[in-house]
Amino acid sequence: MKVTSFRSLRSASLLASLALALTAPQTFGAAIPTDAFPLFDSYIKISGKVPSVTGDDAAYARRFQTPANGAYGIEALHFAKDLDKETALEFDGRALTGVEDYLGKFKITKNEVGSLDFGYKRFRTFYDGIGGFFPLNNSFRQLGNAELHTDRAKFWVGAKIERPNAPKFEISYVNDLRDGRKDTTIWGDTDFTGIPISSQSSLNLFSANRKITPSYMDLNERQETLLGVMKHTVGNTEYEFEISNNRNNSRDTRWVNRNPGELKPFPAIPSSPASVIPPELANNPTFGFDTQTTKSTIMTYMGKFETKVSEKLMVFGSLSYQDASADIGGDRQMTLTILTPIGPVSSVGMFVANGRPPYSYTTQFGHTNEKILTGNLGVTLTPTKDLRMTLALKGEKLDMDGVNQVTYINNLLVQSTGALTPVNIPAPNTAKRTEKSWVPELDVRYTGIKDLSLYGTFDFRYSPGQDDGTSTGVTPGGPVVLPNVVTSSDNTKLNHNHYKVGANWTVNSAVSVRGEFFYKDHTNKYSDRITAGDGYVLGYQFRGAKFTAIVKPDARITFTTRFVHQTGKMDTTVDGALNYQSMDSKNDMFGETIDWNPTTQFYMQGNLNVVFATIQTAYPSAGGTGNDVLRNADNNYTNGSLIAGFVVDKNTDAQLQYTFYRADNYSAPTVVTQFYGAGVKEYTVALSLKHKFSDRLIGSLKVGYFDSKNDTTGGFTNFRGPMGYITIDHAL
Amino acid sequence: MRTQPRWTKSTLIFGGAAIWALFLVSCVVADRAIVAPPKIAGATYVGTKECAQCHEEQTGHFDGATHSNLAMKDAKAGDIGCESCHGAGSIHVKAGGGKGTIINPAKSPEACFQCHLDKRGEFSLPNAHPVLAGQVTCNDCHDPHKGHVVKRTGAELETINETCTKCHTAQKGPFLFKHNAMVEGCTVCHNPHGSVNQKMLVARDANLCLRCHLEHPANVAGGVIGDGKIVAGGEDHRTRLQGGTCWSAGCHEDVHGSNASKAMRY
Repeated sequence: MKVTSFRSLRSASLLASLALALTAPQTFGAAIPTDAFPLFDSYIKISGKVPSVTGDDAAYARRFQTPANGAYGIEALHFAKDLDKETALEFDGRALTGVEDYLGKFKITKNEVGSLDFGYKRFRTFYDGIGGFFPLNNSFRQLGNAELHTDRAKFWVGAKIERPNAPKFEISYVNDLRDGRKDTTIWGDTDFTGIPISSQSSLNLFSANRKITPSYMDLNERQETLLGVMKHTVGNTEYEFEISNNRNNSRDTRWVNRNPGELKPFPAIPSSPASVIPPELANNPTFGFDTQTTKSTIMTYMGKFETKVSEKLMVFGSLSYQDASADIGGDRQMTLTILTPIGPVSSVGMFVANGRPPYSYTTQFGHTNEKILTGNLGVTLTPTKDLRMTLALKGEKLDMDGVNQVTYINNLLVQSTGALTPVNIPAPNTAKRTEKSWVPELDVRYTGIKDLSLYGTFDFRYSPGQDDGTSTGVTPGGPVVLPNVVTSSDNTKLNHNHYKVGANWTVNSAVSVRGEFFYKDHTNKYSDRITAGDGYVLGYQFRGAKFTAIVKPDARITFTTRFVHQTGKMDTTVDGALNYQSMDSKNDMFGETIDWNPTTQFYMQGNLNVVFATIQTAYPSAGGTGNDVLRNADNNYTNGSLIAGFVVDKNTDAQLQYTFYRADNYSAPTVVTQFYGAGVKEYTVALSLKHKFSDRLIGSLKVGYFDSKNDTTGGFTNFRGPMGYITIDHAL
Repeated sequence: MRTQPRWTKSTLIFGGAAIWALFLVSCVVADRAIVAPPKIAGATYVGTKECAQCHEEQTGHFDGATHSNLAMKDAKAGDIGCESCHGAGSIHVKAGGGKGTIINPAKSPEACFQCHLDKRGEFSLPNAHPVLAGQVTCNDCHDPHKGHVVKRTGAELETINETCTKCHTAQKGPFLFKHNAMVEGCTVCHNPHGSVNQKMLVARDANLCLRCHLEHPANVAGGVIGDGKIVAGGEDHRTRLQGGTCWSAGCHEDVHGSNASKAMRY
């Protein structure tokens, strides 16, 4: 059915294109834009958007960032007024319920004096809580939390003093908030995946106790920034001084729940022994949370200058000092329930003898300090009018230290009696880090060849440092758990090089082409380590090219073509061991946009993007049983849009819009682990009309249809349906 | 039973004829221009000098900006560096400024998409910053008027991750035990413009981590290439990966850094 519809649309597009092309010369150039829709200085725009969703409401909300029951309200309010010849007042507002998108912005500006502005903005982001789909037994998980969304809000107030020939001052206060609940890809474990599980572990083909279930996070983040800036120009020198106080206060909690009895038997498992998970294995309910808190204060002092020594020489430099201190904390409590002769026993951090505790801990105290001194100095040389070179050197010195004293909460369960014994383990964690980085840069541009611009940027980052730390975990130790202390001391040397050369050639008034080649080479070395196996000599190289061509055969049509090609390789090892190529990636992107304005009263714009991207790691070189959990990560997709607009009459415009997206990378055959790739087919089609009712009133109506099919979720999150969108713009 | 719209030959013929007739009629009864975004109907080029009269802050340092590498004189219109992105400015100049008379990339990404076609495609994906919805703009992360579009180099004080952590404060750290991927940059794991994968990940599976955390199979006893071992941290992780990705199922959950576990387990 769908194939037929696409063929039809293609045919329709071709027919329409042919007809327009044949008649275009007769109409082009005849019209003069005298009936343009008015531009209101001050206006209010009221809108309503109503979909009728068949299928998964949450998936629709996430894709279109609108709830399935729609949104309506004041989409835009703009009021501008000149209070006198020198003073202007502006107000912008928005209040859309459903999407919970609100804005109130006020600004008053007086020429050659300054401005004052303040406002509040808030918008909502929707999530769908989609978990994994496991085709083995048609198993699909989705978070039950109906309201998965986060709100970002911002309040700001600022003032500027901008007198002519005098220092300019700016002071502002910004309060950013982010709160709400969102899904996360950091999933918990479950037994719902359909992986065959037997009560006799020797018969299990696959790991029986580590499967995955979707999880969610509660966010509560606040950032306040008080900023003061002074800028001044004396002669040929610009100065800027800045001081800021940034305070962060975040408390993010991830919930990790596993419900009992979720096993959905794998059909191929024989019934003898019965495929029921015994309590002592993995089917115990687990309810837990992991809260991370940070309360930090960051003071930053910065000064910079830029002086024009002559027409051929400019010198610039800057210096910044940042002092950050933070109180940190963590609270992770995993509560297990296990059946015993006295009934179910629940406790935080519960484990049985020789079993691994579920890593529950609480922070006693934690603190970090970080000081960063950064400075740079550079020159811009213009020896000829066509040659421009910038040479700069940046130096950074970072010192960081921190401590986090936690206590692991463990409770030993004797399953035969139900008796619990607390086994709490104090665990210190410390870190000390220094880095001294040098970052030279050379930037060159040459325009001495007619219609040709050549440029290149070369920057390097050489960053030696020392990274020491002590991490304390817990490990099973028979009837108890024992502290597991890992001390590390790494001498680090990072060499990061980036090269870019390109050209922009205006061939003639109809054709311009651009090409750019880039190369990125990173090498990270760790030495003098006292703990082997946790650090890597890592080297990777990315190289590629970007090409863009803009072709305008005549004033009515423009072809813009872009091609990006990139390949990458990585090599890893540990000290004294063999090198190994750990990654091989390829990414090819082709994009085309065609703008066609055959007459002044019609336009068509088509966009197409085709991407082939793959990341290969150990698959298939792992071989054997290793490949039961591996596939390449393919991220191929195609998407595009087609928009056609035309004038219906002197008061009405119409627009047709079609968008589509295809991804066909879903790899279902993996028996275990998580799915690989994404498989999606979706399109939207819409017709909108915009009508001028009077010189002060404009209305629009849009009706459309959407359809989304998602193989990644086994079709459980498909949605489709019609939608309507209406707006009214009124001049104030 | 599910129904879908049916496109037949008759629908095409009559529908197409109706639209075409409507279009022909419009040519007669209307005297008005309509253009594809992001153009300004009826506007002509005025040149960069006109722009600099009011927008000195934007034009003053443009010569050192990444985009100035591409700003070349047009054979007919002269120096139109500003108008290459903002559209022809005659109506804007005549009106003395004002909304709706010029393309403002800080309000709409269409100006950027004229050349960055691939970014239009990426922002259209299901997992992307809400640029098309107007909640985030290209300018929130990139300054097209001054310096490098991607901050990192010696001429800039900023580090590459500051672009991300100014909003994503919880990932900023510093953590006692940092993830070295954060040293390479957030974009090592996330494509900020959009991805087919959740959370804008460049891979939604174990390959994300195995790119760096993968060792020669010989690093465990008896291991050789092709024997089914997936070695990281000196241990075979094959059976562990059966449970899901590296950062799921209670394994390495604090992917951005940890204050309690060097292995970033929690």
